[in-house]
Amino acid sequence: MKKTITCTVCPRGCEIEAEYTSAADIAVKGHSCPRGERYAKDECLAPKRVFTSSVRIDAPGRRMLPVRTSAPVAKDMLIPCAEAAHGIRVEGHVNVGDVIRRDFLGTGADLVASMTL
Amino acid sequence: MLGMKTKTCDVVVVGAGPAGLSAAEAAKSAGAGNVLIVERDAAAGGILRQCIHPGFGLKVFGEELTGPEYAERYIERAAAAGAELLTGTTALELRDRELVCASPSGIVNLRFGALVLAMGCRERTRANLVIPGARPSGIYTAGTAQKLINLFGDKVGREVVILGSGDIGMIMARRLTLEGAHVKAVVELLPFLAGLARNKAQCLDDFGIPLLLSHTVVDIDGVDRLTSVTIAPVDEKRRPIPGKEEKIACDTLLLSVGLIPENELSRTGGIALSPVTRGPVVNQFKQTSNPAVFACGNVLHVNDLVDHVSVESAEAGRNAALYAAGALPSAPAFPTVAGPGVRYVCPQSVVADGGEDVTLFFRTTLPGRRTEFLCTSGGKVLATRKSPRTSPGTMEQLVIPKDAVAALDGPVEVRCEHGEVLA
Ligand SMILES: Cc1cc2nc3c(=O)[nH]c(=O)nc-3n(C[C@H](O)[C@H](O)[C@H](O)COP(=O)(O)OP(=O)(O)OC[C@H]3O[C@@H](n4cnc5c(N)ncnc54)[C@H](O)[C@@H]3O)c2cc1C
Ligand code: SF4
Repeated sequence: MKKTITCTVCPRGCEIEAEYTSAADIAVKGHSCPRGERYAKDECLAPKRVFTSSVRIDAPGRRMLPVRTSAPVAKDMLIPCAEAAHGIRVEGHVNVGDVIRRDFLGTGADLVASMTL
Repeated sequence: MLGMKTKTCDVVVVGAGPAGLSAAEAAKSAGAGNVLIVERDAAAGGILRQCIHPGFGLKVFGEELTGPEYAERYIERAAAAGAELLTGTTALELRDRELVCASPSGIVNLRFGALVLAMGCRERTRANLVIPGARPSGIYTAGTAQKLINLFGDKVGREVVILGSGDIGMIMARRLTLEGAHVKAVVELLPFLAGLARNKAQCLDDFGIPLLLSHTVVDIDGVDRLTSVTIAPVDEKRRPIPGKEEKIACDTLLLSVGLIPENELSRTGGIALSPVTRGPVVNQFKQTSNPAVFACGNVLHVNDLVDHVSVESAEAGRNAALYAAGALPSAPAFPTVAGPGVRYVCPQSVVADGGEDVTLFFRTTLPGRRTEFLCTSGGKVLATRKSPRTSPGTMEQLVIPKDAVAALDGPVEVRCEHGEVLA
């Protein structure tokens, strides 16, 4: 299989060509750094993205708390994560980095606050 | 005037977005005695407060942060350095060495040794474009939709068309899709993407959202609420091609058609502005036509990356502190010129002072592959760089070494030569 991938790891957005037959045999070219190589391999086998959203919070003067996953999750988990985030309500004071849901939907990543409120 | 308060500061900063926060921290670290940031919002952080997506901080912190996380780090840094923050306070008028502000306790006059402008930018709206048709509700700028959804938890619509392929529009295409809306198309007038390639990949391609290049919206329908837009392809002169119109049913149209530096305040102070960047004309110290006034961040020129903003703004803050202390070097200045293939160069002039290397930021006019950037002065090459791929959506830079800066004796030109033009 052949694939052209825009690397999203950094804003340079290198265009990477990947050719693969199996997990053990992936050839990539066009990347400018090792992070890009890893990203391209992940894109071929199991694409991952950081999930972000905002959830309801009961805090004075604020209605929404921005949240993120502590690590990238499988790309096809983005929509299920978004649906689950709709049902979340947070109360009281929150610090940036506080865990809102541990192992969010079994992705292995925590859902954490991205703002102190 | 009765009830009018006056305060004197070494450095005053207008705006507590990433630019202002970084400038204030750097001014303080460079030895300025009292540094005051005025911010019209109730909280610091600027536009980043609503940019909840990841992608910030890779250069400055070496990790991928969301906008609020990035802002919080700079809020802490500015506070730790000892900069004072006055929220709920709008700068209204700039005089020679004085800034008039409206604060919750009334009008305040701030006398400054140096001032840093960091007011950011605002979005172009439908009023800046000419779209014929009705005026129903359901039309938002992408940034307004971002604020409504991310900060207030509002719903903006279910069937969406986005006009313009700027970064905010693409980011909102993904956000709305995750919120359960159907984004039917992103329509771009130009034959190439306006924003970053990575945002097309992770915001449009990931969700199968079509990007229609060389297309525009030619009509808008709806009485109370938007019911449809009509789009059409355009010819090389960007005129809609008759007979090729297509109607798309939708209840929401987002506009992502560019940002404009917010320089009303600069105008009250008679600061010279560039017709191209729409920001103040500056030298490498980020010093404007009023030598006591500096500018940085999106008020200077629209940036795609906050990391650049932080670095550039730290320079502005440090130079403002030096100016207030009477220690900013002076030497003859030479203009920078946008040569073939280059839309603008910021700074607009370079002072021939060899204290430091000078970074020139610029944008190309067209996208291309195997591009070479060249910076020359009087036939001498001062800096070059090659890039496999470039686009007008990406801000480029070249660094002139300090020895070459010290030796300058004429205008500096930046030009760009594409191996292959992609438009
Ligand atoms: C929607 C969006 C998405 C983005 N996505 C990314 C991304 O993924 N990655 C990335 O690196 N960068 C991104 N950027 C770019 C980055 O966020 C900006 O470059 C950066 O925020 C600019 O900072 P600033 O301080 O110049 O402006 P701002 O953040 O706009 O701050 C300006 C501040 O000045 C205040 N102000 C204005 N006028 C006055 C006045 N008269 N008196 C007092 N206060 C005033 C405003 O209230 C505001 O707080 C994005 C930008 C936008 C708009
Ligand atoms: S390959 Fe490296 S340099 Fe290129 S976009 Fe990816 S992370 Fe950035």
